[in-house]
Amino acid sequence: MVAGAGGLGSTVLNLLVRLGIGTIHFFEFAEIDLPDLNRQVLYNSENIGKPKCRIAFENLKKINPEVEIIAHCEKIIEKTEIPEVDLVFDCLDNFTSRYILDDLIYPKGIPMVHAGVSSYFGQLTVIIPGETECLRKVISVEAARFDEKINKKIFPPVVTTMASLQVSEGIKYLTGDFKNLLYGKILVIDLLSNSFDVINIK
Amino acid sequence: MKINVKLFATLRLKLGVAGLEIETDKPVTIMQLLKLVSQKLNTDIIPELIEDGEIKVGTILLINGENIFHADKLETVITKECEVSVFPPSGGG
Repeated sequence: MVAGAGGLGSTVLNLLVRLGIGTIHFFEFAEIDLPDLNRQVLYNSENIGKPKCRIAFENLKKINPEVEIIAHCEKIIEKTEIPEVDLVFDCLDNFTSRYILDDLIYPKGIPMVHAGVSSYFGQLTVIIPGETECLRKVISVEAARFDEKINKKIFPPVVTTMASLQVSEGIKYLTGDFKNLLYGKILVIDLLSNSFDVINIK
Repeated sequence: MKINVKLFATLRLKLGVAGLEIETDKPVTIMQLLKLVSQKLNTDIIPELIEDGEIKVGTILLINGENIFHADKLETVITKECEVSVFPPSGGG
């Protein structure tokens, strides 16, 4: 399942569909805006003002008609019923929504590939119930205050880079490669100085 | 003891340094450590990380990967060699 079909989500969905991942659920409620087009690779200039959910679904089906895609044209809230899935990609754009998602899936034992981006920077970690703490504990921020201060200026290559890394970690999880999986650690990237650091976490 | 301080993302950008080593002969709190870092860098990093006596919203401090938010926050005491990571997470998507 992919939560969000914006910057991270449109690349994650694109790659997953091309890889032929059997069934993909995704959630998205926003409409396409002109500034989205510098990084949201599922959309184009003809789609402005249209719902991302519908356009993403149509384009993804064209890429690979054999993949079953279920579009949920809604925001993830506390009451959202999360489908039975093997893995969730956190492609949301704020921590308030991320913690709601975390609260919905962690108790159900569903793992999550988290990523966040800002400016030239991004971080990524895999949350696995029973093996790691939940996202809320691994990356603890006061979500409401943090979200007010999010720097919305994003260097587009950092978004597609992080999304590709999310898919890479997702494949490792789905194929059982726990040796190389980024859990129990956070990858922090900085495309300005070209640094990729892995911080071990407890 | 040696404390290896690593800085990430916007902090690295602002301060122009990725990390540094602090040598101290007695236990220090995180607050004291940040003052030592400021002295060594000749730049007061406290305003970047602390607001009204608390860790600034959007800053994560880890001691050997353990978030001080779940310990004694700025009063968390470092008693042995360790790595302190200062990391402002990115929230966008």
